Amino acid sequence: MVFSSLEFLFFYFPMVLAVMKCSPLKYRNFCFFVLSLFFYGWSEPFYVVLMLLSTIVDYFNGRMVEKYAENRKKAFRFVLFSIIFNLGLLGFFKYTDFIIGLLNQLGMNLTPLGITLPVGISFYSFQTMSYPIDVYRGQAKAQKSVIDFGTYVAMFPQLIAGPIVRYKDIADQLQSRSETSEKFAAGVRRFTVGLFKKVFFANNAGAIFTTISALSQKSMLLSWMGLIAYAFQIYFDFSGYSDMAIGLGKMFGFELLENFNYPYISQSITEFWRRWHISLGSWFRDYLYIPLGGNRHGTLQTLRNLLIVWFLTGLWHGAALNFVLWGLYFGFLLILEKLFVQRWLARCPRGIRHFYALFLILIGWLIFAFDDLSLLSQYGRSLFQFQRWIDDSFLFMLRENALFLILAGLACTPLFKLFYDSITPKIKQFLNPVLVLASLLICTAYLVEASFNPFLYFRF
Amino acid sequence: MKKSDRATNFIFVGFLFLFLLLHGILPDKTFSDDENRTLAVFPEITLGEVLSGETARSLEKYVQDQFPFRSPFVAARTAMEILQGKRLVSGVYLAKQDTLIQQFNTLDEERYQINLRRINDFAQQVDVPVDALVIPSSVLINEELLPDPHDDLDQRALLDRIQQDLTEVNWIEVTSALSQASENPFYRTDHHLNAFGSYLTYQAYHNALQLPVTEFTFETVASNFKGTLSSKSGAFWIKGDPILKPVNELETTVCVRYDGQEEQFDSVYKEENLNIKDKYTYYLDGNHALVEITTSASNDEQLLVLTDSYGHSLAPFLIHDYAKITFVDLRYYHGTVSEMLEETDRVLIYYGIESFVSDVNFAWLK
Repeated sequence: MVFSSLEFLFFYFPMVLAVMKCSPLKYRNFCFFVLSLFFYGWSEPFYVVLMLLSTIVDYFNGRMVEKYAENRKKAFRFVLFSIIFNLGLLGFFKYTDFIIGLLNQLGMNLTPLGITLPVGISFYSFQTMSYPIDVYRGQAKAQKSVIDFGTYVAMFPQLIAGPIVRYKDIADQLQSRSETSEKFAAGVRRFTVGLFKKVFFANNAGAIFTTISALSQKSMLLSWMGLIAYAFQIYFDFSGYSDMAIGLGKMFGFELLENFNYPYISQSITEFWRRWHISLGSWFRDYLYIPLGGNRHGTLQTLRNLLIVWFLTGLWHGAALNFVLWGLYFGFLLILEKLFVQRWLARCPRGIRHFYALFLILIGWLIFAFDDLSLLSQYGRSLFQFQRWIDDSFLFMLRENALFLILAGLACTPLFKLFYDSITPKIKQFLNPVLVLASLLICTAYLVEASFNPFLYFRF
Repeated sequence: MKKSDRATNFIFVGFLFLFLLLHGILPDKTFSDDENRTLAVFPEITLGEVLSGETARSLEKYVQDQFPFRSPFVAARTAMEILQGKRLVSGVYLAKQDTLIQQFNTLDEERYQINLRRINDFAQQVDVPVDALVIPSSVLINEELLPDPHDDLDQRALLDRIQQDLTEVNWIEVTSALSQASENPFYRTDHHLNAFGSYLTYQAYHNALQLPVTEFTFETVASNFKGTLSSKSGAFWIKGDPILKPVNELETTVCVRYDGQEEQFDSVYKEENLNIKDKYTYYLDGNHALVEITTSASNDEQLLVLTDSYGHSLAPFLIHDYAKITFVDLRYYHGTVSEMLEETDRVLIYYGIESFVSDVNFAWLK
């Protein structure tokens, strides 16, 4: 079940609200845990078991790490066990068929297992893994209650698509958190902003990209329009989902960390990765890059560490070669920026820096968008075919979508936020409820339409 | 801010619960007139289906299909698309003069080759002459109503190509007659030719064969027919079209049989269908595999029409000129057409261009 669906908004969520607001404080986590399991099990009844297994194993690991706090060697064994267990699960369910495919290309003859990816496994396995590590490092205390720990793992707002919550960031909130009507309203506002981003911006941008990428012949400008639409789609989709998660968290008293910070206004790739999917970047930094030695052992080792991190970041995004390529692409760009590009950029005017960053980000999305490498190179070529730079389809698509693309572009910048912040509190009092209602109505209309499926010729 | 926050919370929670409540209270519908399809109803719940996730999927369909105020929400979404400056919504142009026009921008080359080969093979194999009348779509005929530029394939070139590729068939040119028509030959809210447009194709057909043309005038029998394009686009506020009945002084009687059934009707019209949503079914009762019409025309000519739904509104114009007219719709008729031709004098292949090049059912043509 995704947040931007009629069944979540009008069935699951009212149920959660009714249960949570009626449950006694003592059973709050238990209720949230059960409701989250229902949320997950709704479409993945079998894989709930997998998530529970992961929860119990790491609950146990956390306890053991704390028990042997004095005996670092023994404690470390449980950390290691957790890492192997979680990466084993993730590796088996996400990468087995990918590896089989690669081996087959090298001449072997293995049958793919046909495993469907358990939803959210990339997110929750990183979360559960971070927990024994935090305890081992003394950054968090082990959780005594398996229910509270389960609430942390299964918490439905961030279960499927992040942000990746680290145990130490939320440990205190599991014991005590406040739920006020101000906080709830802030959550509602955040949630509706996210819903609008997803349903209005991401879905419509996605439709533009789908239309354009399906064309066999496309001019240069049309190809760029398609790629830009894809950049909009992926940003609004992902950041909208994070907004909804943060908003839902707030409604039930949780404070989740921010995950996006206007990534498209970046002036370098280094800056982009500080603004994009922040929880993932910092996870890799704290649990991989720094333990590998970070930048403390000379340039050569720093470069090696960066390449390892970005190879794995790419692979984490999906089990296909293009994602690996995508990760390495950013790894190399970051290395180049570290070595000399940033010095050179600092002397350029701001416009050039924006253009530089956006251009490279867009090329990144090109690599990200196609897991079929021949389609990727085909689309890539059409981006640079200067002899066929414009066509009627482009003029048509531009006329149809100009306003939408401008709105989407503005919505990637802090402009709307600055405007909103400049409004006096008195007007905001009236504006807030009105905006929430308008956004709900618009999103519902688009969601209902998405299911609107006229069958025009005959009823069998 | 406290008051405002409470108002925000009330609106948000109230909105979600209100629709949950309405969903529960309002009776479920089994059929949607606007979309012309059956709707999902509450699924039966079994343990096996719950465990496989099947129940979740059917419940999701149920929630979507039975959502309260579905049509107004769809219309609101269409309106918002228009506010953004879009003129193409769900594959339908909202063109000038409240005219809805279906986009036609892709050609499946492989399917095209197959269809033309099958038609040529058929025409070669049978002993009677075969004519083809392919109706261009509204995109070509009403181009001046479309936004400029619009995104469609070059239909004139496609028609020329079909004409050239149909080597075994006698081509009936109809584009110029439709283009020069004094009024729109298409419905504004449906993809079909209206009665007037069908009359023009009948004239073009008989003129091409140098056969006499019967005169007709038109009588409005219903108004506010909202057709397929209205459903598809969600532009429900655009008013419907009239349904026209061709009339003249001739007193030809007819006997109509559907799908080889015993029951006979004395009219090519279905009066009661003027009261339903799909009023186009007034002509020949909508889709049937086989319609056989015998008439009292003073003529022993027999005609077989291979057609899609465009043929329905052609029927009234033919009844004075043929003793027997047989309509075959290959989407539903899977018998052997060539065995029906013993007493037939001519075969007319009568299709809208889109289904002509994309329909997979020419496989049944043998």
